[in-house]
Amino acid sequence: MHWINWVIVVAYLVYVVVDGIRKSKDTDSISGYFVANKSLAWWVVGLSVMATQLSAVTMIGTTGQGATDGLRFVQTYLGLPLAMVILGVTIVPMLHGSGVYTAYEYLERRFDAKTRSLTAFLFLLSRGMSCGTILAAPAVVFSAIFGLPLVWSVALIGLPTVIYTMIGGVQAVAWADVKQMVLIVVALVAVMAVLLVQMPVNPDEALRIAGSTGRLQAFDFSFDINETYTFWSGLIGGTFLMLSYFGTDQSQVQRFLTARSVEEANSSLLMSAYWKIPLQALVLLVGVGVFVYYQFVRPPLLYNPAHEVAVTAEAGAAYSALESRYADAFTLREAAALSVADATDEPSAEAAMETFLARETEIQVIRGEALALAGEVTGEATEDVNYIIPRFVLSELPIGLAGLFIAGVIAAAMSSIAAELNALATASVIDFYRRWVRPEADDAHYLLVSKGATGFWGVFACVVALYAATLGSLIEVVNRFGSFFYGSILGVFLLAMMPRAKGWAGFVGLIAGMTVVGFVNFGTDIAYLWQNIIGAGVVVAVGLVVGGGGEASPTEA
Amino acid sequence: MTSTDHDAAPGAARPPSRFRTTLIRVLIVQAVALTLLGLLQLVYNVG
Repeated sequence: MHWINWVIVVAYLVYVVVDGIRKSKDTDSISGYFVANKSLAWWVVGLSVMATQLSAVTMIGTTGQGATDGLRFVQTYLGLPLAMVILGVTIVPMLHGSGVYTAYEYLERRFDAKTRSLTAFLFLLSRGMSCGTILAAPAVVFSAIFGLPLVWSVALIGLPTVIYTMIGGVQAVAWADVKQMVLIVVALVAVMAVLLVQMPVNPDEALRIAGSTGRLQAFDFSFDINETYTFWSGLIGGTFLMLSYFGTDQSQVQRFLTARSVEEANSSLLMSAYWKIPLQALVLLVGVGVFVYYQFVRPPLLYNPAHEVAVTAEAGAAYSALESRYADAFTLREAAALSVADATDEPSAEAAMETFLARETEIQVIRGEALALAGEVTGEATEDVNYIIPRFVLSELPIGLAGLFIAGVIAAAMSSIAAELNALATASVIDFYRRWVRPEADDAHYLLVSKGATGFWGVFACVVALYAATLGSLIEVVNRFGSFFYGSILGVFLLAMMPRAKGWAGFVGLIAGMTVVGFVNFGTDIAYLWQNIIGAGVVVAVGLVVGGGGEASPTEA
Repeated sequence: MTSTDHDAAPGAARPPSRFRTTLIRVLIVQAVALTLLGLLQLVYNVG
């Protein structure tokens, strides 16, 4: 990467850390450290909510998905606006008004200590691991692209994040999120602008080429519960997923607990309701744009440069033969793409598209052979979707803009990791340390322990990121386990809103919900968005049966 | 007009709730975004 790009990246990293430390002035109590003394404006919280949800995986993985699969993924977010509005009249006033630090703390007031501890433990387990994977995704890509040892890439992203989160608490996290969100949007818009300017065909022709491969199919109205992305799974299952994520996951709940009032907390969530789908569409359209651009500028046969180097060194002759076939196939596909763009009537357009799709299939066959060769040589997974956009950015974007985009990817990673570290520390200290170990210590003691907990989770995330490749199957198990938990914990909060549900209702309902979702997950092909509804439904049904009668608990009043 | 005036006017239309107003606004913005995506699909997508 050009030195000017590196200067931009380093300047961004230094600025984030220095600014984060400056923001630590009001964090001399755990209220300041964990919920900013409920002092933040709605737009700060709103941008923080959006930045937390938008990780580096969105910047490199989702854009890559746009290039290979098109716009279908946008359907996942169809339920988000509705979920935000529902949260505004249910969970937000309930949690913000109750003066809790964590969502799980509320569950003890409503049910009992074991329900609180179980939900908090599940959060720590799943989010602790996912924090490592969020860090690993961009670190592995940077390591391959810049030729850095993985430990350096992890340190580049992880170390500054841990420093400002540990020192500045939620205040530093939220204000850093604001700048990071601005940087992310600017970077995405800049890439889109460059694509539009440098594209050899006009936007109408580009859309025709993308559309001929099915990449502009944003909606699938078929009602198939085994299909991952459909309009209905996104709208119905997605609403439950978003209710659960934004309403019960501490990494998001903690964002709106920092707002000055319930009204401002609601306004902060509505920012996502308004902008999430357009932003996600932009992310995917950038990927679609890169796909079209690469019809006219030959992309690398293997997007992962580390694999490219390894294959060239160890199977040079076979790889050269593949590259030669690839070059010929590319020339033919480019001509076919131009025919699609130039077609003036329907018969000629149909013929051009047919030829283009055949040429595209040839390219994919050759790519498949190259990926298989890379797999044989390296013994590693060869899926290279996450490398498409970084390779495009570094080879095609002007100096300066490439640095801006790389800084944007790091910003996206940092904003998500920081919020999670902050939330993990909060749940560790409030739901376990203060609840079970030292209930009577003074504020200064808890503050010290909180900073230590943030540091601990930061180191834990870095270690998981370093060993992400070897921990692959374990991480997958934990992520899958986490998905059982999502709909089910929403069910517990729904139960909490029902005056009839008491005592054991939350605990037994949660165990039942997770068990049923576990069976559904392993035993059927039902897509994961629907599993959230099943989990929530089982928890509520079982909870009402178990705890639907008897005396109200004394803390309930 | 004060809130008492509202109370004193039986049969007068109640103002829409804040929830409903917000929901409608959010739905309008989403409808615009989704319509644009739908148009892209309708006009260009043939895959």
